[in-house]
Amino acid sequence: MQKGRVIRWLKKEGDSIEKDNPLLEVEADKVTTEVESPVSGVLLKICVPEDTEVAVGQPIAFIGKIGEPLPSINVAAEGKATPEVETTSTGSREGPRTVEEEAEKVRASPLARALAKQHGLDLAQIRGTGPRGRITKEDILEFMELRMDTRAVKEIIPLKGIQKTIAGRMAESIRTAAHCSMTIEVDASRVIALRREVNAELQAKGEGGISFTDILVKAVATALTEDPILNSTLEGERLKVFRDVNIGIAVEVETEGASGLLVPVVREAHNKSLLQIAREARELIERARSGKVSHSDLSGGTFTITNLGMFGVQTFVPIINPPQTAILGVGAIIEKPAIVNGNIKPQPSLHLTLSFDHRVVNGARSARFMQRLKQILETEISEQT
Amino acid sequence: MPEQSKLDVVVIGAGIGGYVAAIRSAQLGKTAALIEKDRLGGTCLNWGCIPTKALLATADFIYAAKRSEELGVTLSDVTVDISRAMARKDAIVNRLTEGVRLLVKKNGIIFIEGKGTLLSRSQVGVQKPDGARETIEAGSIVIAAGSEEPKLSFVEVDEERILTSKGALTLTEVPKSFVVVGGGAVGIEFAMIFNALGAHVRLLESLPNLLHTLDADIGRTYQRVLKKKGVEVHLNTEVKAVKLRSDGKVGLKAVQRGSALDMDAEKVLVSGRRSPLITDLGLEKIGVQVKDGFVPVDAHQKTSVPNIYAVGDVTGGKMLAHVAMNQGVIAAENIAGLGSTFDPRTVPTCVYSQPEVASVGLSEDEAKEQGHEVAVGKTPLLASGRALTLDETEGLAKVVCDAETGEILGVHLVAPHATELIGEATLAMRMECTSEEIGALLHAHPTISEALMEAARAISKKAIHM
Repeated sequence: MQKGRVIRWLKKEGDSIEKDNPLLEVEADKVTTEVESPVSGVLLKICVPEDTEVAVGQPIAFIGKIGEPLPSINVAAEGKATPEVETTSTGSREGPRTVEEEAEKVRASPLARALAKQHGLDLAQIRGTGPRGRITKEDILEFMELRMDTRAVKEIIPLKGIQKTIAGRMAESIRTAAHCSMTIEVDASRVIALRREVNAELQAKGEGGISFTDILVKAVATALTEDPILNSTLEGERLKVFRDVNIGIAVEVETEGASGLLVPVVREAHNKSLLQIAREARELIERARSGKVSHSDLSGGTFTITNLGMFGVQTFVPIINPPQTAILGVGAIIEKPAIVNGNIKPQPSLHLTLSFDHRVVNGARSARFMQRLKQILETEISEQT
Repeated sequence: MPEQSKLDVVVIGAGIGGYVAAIRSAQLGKTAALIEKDRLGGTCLNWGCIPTKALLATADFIYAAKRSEELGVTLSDVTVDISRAMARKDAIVNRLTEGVRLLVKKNGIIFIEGKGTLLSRSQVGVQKPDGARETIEAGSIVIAAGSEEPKLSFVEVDEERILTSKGALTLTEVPKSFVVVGGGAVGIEFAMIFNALGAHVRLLESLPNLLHTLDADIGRTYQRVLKKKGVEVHLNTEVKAVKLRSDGKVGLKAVQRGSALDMDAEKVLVSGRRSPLITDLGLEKIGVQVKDGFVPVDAHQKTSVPNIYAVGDVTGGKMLAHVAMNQGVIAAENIAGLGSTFDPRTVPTCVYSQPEVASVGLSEDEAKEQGHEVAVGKTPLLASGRALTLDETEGLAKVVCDAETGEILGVHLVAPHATELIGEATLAMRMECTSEEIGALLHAHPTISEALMEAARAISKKAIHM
């Protein structure tokens, strides 16, 4: 975490506050958290207005005794609420560190800095080969040579909020987990029939239907209850295997005009009926798409399902949603010729791809999980399971 | 003392490049031998840097005495005793070479007097003064054989009347007339020594500029300096023949811009580019590449044979003691697997005449030739308060930068203590400072270093005193 957003102050300037009592709400990495006061005292000054992004380590408020002088420190004042205090009388800019200020912390020669400035390079992106990693002119020139890009740029889209979080988490996943994937083909006849039957009933009652994803949530929850090794998180050298199966469903959302990804969580899916799962999932997805999703909607996941079947994609290899151990990628159901007892007959075929962390579980055990999942979907799944 | 049969490193030549390579190797835990056929300390200590600087200190003193009245001091009977000056010089040389001998011993290095020759890629044969032979086996070999006085086609040196720097350092009398052939660092230093000692000095240079390897402003400034001191400078003058005449004088035939220029002198000193001492080392026989009389090396000081290194004058480039010393360290560190590299861009060049000359990096012309758009800042020493108090206002500080990036490409100084001040410029370049950093750095007042600061500030038109 490098940045957070002050959502709401729970105390006003001048209010007394006890240690460990809630002081403000902060959003970081898509998650809103209440921050408790580290000390008892009076909230002397709020430095960061509500709905303002701040860098980690930047002072956001001062708590002390009444009348205690505040340290003379540049406090954050960026944000919609107080744009008029962007500069002080000395002309120095207040607020979160700029890219240039960030670059000041990087070890680089003055010439390297001048070159980076001239060419609009971010020194933090450049590997230094000088003493103790100092960035030299050579390093800048080499970087520019590698970066030499003659392709015409139509537009530059800076990554913001949720997108930045996703980018960071996906890269972290690839960096840390030992990704391994396997695909299994499932005869989807039973799944199709089940959905058709259930939806006919629901439609008659004027209720919303169930999706293939809902059926998969149910099937996966059942399989994970039988062998919970994939319902886990690796923490250092300890594997935490969870009792409850909380399944996240990857949902595409629009935020700030760009496409993003949220993973609302169906809690205790193993204790819920297919219809319960379907109802909850529908509400969660609705909340995610309309931006009303809560912190608890998004937290606590132990396994993730991502379905691209609606786009006609048959198979794809998903990236594990860290710190979970596995993710299931669901493809489209395609009618295909199958050989049954020597005869060719049409069969709806569904490809499921499991990406799992090979640090945690080996291939055979994962394969058994997939085999069991296939069995559930082809022969066992029903409205009552 | 380590076992002699199988050493880690053997160094041929105990000049400043060689003994440094041996000491650095020993520091890094290697067993090392050092072979020298002549004198420990090599050219620098015995016939170059150190003895000339000792005599130049005498010259400086004489110059100071000459203008003592202006500074309010009346000296009577200022006489020069060249034998005392030479004895002092010899004492300094002996003291330093003894110091090196102790260092070599202290570091457990085997010192062998004799002539080293490569027998194989891991064997060096030594022929000792008493005729005995010895073969030394080592994992790595460092060639630090150095160079000798230049071999010039138009002259036969006898080191009595027709001299190189080596002979000039042993003169027992001050000649009445002294001609110096070559307007490089050696030529100018000896012109100045003998000018101060009272000889009538003429300096002949074939090119249109003195100190032609340095920035043209230095050469132009120095022409004025020498003229003021009474040295006759003849530029564009090519010496065709130098001969001993029957009357005991030395006759010179030269051509100046197409017309003949003949002169004679009691002593003539010839200077020029020195010749590397590599012909009888047996390099090519064992496959070490030799090109144009030099041993080519990479940035790690490696020759074409992986375990054979070369440092200093034998490698060509700038034949300077501090280059050899730096390369000696680098060779030793690479032998020990540390991966050091030689940076030829920040090699200072110094002339210890009065005022001193010091230069690092590219001249203005070189920078332009290399395609830089050049920004130049210059300060004459006349604008320096410190120069006025020292009564030494002849000189300048010049900073050459890349106009676009501010990169310091070269710094050129003619000034008192320029050889010390160049350290600031060399560090700035090595650390990749721009002229902004030198210009913004506060420099003590009054000092000559302020002239460098002002020249740097002049690049961005921020000089205060101009």
